[in-house]
Amino acid sequence: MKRRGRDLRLLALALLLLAIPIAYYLWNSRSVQKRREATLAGVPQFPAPHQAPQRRPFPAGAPAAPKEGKPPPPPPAATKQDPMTSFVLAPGPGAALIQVNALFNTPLFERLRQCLPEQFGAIDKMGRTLGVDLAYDVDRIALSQDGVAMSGFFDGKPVAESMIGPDADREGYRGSTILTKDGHCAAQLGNLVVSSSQEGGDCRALIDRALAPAPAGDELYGDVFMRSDLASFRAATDAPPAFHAIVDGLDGITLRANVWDSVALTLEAAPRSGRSANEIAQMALGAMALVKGQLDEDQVELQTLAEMAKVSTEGGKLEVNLVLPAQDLFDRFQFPCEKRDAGK
Amino acid sequence: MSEEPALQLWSVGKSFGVFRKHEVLRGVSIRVERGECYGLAGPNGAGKTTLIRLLLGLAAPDTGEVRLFAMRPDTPDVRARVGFVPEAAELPPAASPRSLVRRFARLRGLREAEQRGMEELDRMGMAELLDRPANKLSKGEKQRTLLALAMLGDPQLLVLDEPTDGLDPLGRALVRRVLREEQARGRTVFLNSHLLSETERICTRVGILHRGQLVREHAVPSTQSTAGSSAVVLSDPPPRDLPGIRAAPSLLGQATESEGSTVLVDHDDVLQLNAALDRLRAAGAQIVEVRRVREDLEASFEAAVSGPGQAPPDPGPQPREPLPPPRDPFRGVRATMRVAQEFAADLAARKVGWFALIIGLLVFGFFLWGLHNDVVKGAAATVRQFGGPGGMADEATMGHWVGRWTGGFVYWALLPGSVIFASMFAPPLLDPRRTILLLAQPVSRGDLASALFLTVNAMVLGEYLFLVALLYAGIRWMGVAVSPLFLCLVAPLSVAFAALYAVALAMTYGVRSGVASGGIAFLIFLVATITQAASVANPEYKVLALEAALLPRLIGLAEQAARLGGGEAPRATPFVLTAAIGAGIFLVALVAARRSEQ
Repeated sequence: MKRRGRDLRLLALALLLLAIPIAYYLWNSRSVQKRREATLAGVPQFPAPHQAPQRRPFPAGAPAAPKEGKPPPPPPAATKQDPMTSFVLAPGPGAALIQVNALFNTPLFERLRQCLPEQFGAIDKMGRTLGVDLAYDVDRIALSQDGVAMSGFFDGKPVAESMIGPDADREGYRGSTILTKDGHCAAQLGNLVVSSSQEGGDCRALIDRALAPAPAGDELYGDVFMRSDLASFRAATDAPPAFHAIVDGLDGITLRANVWDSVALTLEAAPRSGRSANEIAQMALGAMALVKGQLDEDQVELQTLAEMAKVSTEGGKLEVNLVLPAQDLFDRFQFPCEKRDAGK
Repeated sequence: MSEEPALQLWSVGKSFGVFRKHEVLRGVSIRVERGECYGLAGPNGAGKTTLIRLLLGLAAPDTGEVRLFAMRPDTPDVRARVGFVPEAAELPPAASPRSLVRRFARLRGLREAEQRGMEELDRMGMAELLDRPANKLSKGEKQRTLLALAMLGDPQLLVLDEPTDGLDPLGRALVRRVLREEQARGRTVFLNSHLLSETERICTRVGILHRGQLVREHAVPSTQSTAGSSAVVLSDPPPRDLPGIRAAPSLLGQATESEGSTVLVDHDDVLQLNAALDRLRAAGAQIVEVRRVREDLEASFEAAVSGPGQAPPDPGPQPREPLPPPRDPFRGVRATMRVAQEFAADLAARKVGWFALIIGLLVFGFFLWGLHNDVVKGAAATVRQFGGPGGMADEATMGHWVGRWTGGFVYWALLPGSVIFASMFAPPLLDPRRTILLLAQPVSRGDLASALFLTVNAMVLGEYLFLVALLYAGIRWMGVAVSPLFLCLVAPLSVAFAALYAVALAMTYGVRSGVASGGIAFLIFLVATITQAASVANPEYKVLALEAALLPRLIGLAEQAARLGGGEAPRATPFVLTAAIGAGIFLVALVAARRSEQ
C-alpha cells in the first residue's frame, strides 16, 4: 500500500508539472487575447479612398480651443476643387501630403510630443510667430520639389506675411498677394498658404499649381501620402548598393499611411520595364518571412502586426500592406524619451 | 522475542495474464531460519523462478506476504544483505570478471569489497581468467563469476537459482564446497536446483513445489546421526523371527546394490546395529552388504508430484508489518548515480558513443563543407556587394546571421536523430536477463529508470557539447565572427532532448522496443512541431493551441537556439515550460518503471 501511495504521489506531482504549461497557456491566452485586441485597437485602417477619419477627441484643458467665428474646414475634394489635391497631384518628380491636424491628435504624436518636448516647443513657438496654433489651425501640409502648401484655419490671419516678415515686396497674382523678401516668397489665398522652399523660388508657379484642375482619379488619401518617381533616390551616390538594387527595380512609388498607435502603410510600386512585379513581390515576401522568423512566441504585438502584412501584384503593380509598430520601434531604437525614462 | 527468520513467504499467490489469469503460485508458505540451507525443488513450470522473483522483490505477490529479514523484499536496503545468482543471467559482453567485480562493488557502494571479490574469484578457480571478456567465458565460468559477484558485500542470505546448471562434475563439487563453507560461516542459503542429489547433499530442508503449491517439505537427515535404519543384504534368505530385523525385499536398487535377500535393521545407535548384525551372523546368515537407508528425496519428490493434490499446509501466523527501511533521503540519488555509472560503463563497452560520434562528425563535416561553400561564400559576396565593413553586412552582422541560421539548423538537424538513436539504448539495457543482476543489488526499479535517463542525457549532452564546440571553432576558423553565446545552444537542444527522451523512456516500459519507443518519441517531435507551427499561424484556433501547450515547446526552443546562435539573450519561457513537461513525463516513466515486472 505504501508503494502504491508513493506512486500516486509521484503521479500527482507529474500532473502538477504537466498542469504548469496548461495554466500558463490559460493565463497567457487570456493575456495574449487582450494584447492582440489592444494591438488591433491601435492599428488604423489601411488607407482607402473616402476613408472615414479616425481622430481622437481634443483633450480637455489642452491648448486653447478653436476661437469663435472661425470658418468651417475646407470642403472635401470630392465636392469642390481642392487646391491641396491639385498641388500634390500636379505632374512632377514627386510630392507629399501630410494631414497635420489628424496626425497631431494620434497617440503616436502624443508620444512624440512627450519625447521631444523641446522640438514641439519650437514648433509651437513658430506657430505663435505665424499667429496660428499649429496643432489646431493647420489642417494639411503639402510638399513638392519647389515649395510648400499649407491649408487650415487661416482666413483673416496674415500667415504669409508673418512667414516672410515685414518690409516684403508685394505683388498681386490671381487674387492673392505674393510677398517676396531675400529671395523667398509666400502667398496666401484665404485658407491656403504657399511658400517657396528654396531661394529664388517662384510663388506664381506654386499658385498656378494649386489652382490648376486636379488630375482625374481619386488617389490622394491617407494621413500621409507620398509619391516619387525615385529619380532623386537613384541619383544619390552615398546610398548603399542594396538600396540602389531596390530603387533601380522600380519605376515609381506611392506610399500612403494612416497613423494611430501604429502606422498602417500601403506601398504601391510599378516595376521598371524588364523587371517583374512577381519577382519583387517574392523579395518582399522573403523579407517578411525573415522578419516573422525572428519574432518570439511572446512578442504578441509584433506577431499580430506581422500577420496583417500582405503582398499582392494585381494589375502588374506591386502592392504591399504593412503595419509598422511605431511605438515599439521607439523603444527598440532606444529613442530618447525624457518622460518615459523618468517614469522607469 | 525470537529472531525473525531470514526469509518468509506467507500464503503467497501470484497470477499472470490480463484477461485470462494463469495462477502460477497458490498459498505458498515457506519460512527459512537464519543459518539454514533450504532447497527448492519441483518439476518444470512449478513456479520456482516466480517464487524466487517474489522472494527478491523483483515481482509483487497478488496475495500473501513476503519478508526478507522482516523487511519488504523490494526495499533496496534489504537487498544489500542478499547475494543472488540468477539462472541465465547475461553478463555485459565485453566486461571481464575483474572489471565486473569492480563495477559490482561500486554498484553496491562498497569499493572496499573489490579485494574481497578478487579473493572470491580466486576461490572459484577463476584466477587465470580474470581479464577474459564475459562473452568468451564458458557457461560454467560465467556461473562461477556470478557466484563470486554474489559474495560481494558479505551477504547474510544467498539465493541461488540453478547455480550448478551447466557445470561439469568438478565445477559442481566446487560449488558444493563453497556453499557448505558459506553455510558453516552462518549464512542462510536458499537453493533452487533441479538436481535433487545436489540439493540433498547441500541443504537440510527441501520444499517441493508442484503446480504452484508447496506440496511437501522434506527434512534431509544429517549424515552425522547414527539413528535410523540400515539395509543388510544376505547371500541367502534370512532366518525367521530375529528381533529388530524385518524383511524388505523392495530396497534393491533403491538403497542397496548387491544381489541377495535384503533385511532392514532399525537402530538407535551403532551398538544396536552391530548387535543386530551379530544376531544375523549367529543365525548363520552371510552378510554381503550393509548400507544406511534414508528417506529418499527422489522418492519423496516422485510421491509428491504424482500423488493427489493436497490442500496447502497451514501458513501459520501472518508475519508482522514489515520493518520500515532506514531513512536516508539521499539513498535514491546515490543509487541512481551508481547505476548511472554502471550504465555508462556498459554503453562505453558497447562503443555506442563512438558510433554516435562518428555519425555526428560525418554529418557535421558535410554541414561545414556546405556552410563554407554556400553560406560563407554567399555572405562574403554580400559583404563585397554591400560595401564591406560598415555596410549592410559588416563582420558583426554576418556573424549574427550565420550564427542565427546555424543555430536553428543545428537544433533541427541534431534533435530528431539523437532522440531516435538514444531511444534504442533503453531496451538492451533493460533486458531482464541483464537487469536481474542489477536489481539484485541495493537499487530499485526507479533508480534504474532514473539512472538510464541520466546516463543517456549526460551522454547526449556530451555529444552536443562536443559537436557544437567543434562547429563553433569551425565557423570561427572560416573567419565568421560568431558570438561565444553560440556555444550555449546546447541548452535548448538538451532541454528539448530530455523532454522527448522522457516520452521515449515512458514508452519503453510499455512496448519494450527501442525502435518503437524511438518512433513514438519522433512522432511526438513531429506532432509538437506541426501543432505549434499551426497554432502560431492560427492564433484563433484554441483547441490547437491547447494541444500545443501540452507538448514540449520545440519551436520556441528552436527560436532560442537561433537567438543564442546569433548572440542574443534567450527567453526563459520555452525552457521552463519544456522542462516542466519533460519532468512530468519523466515522473510518469518512473511510475511505469516502478510498477513494471520483467
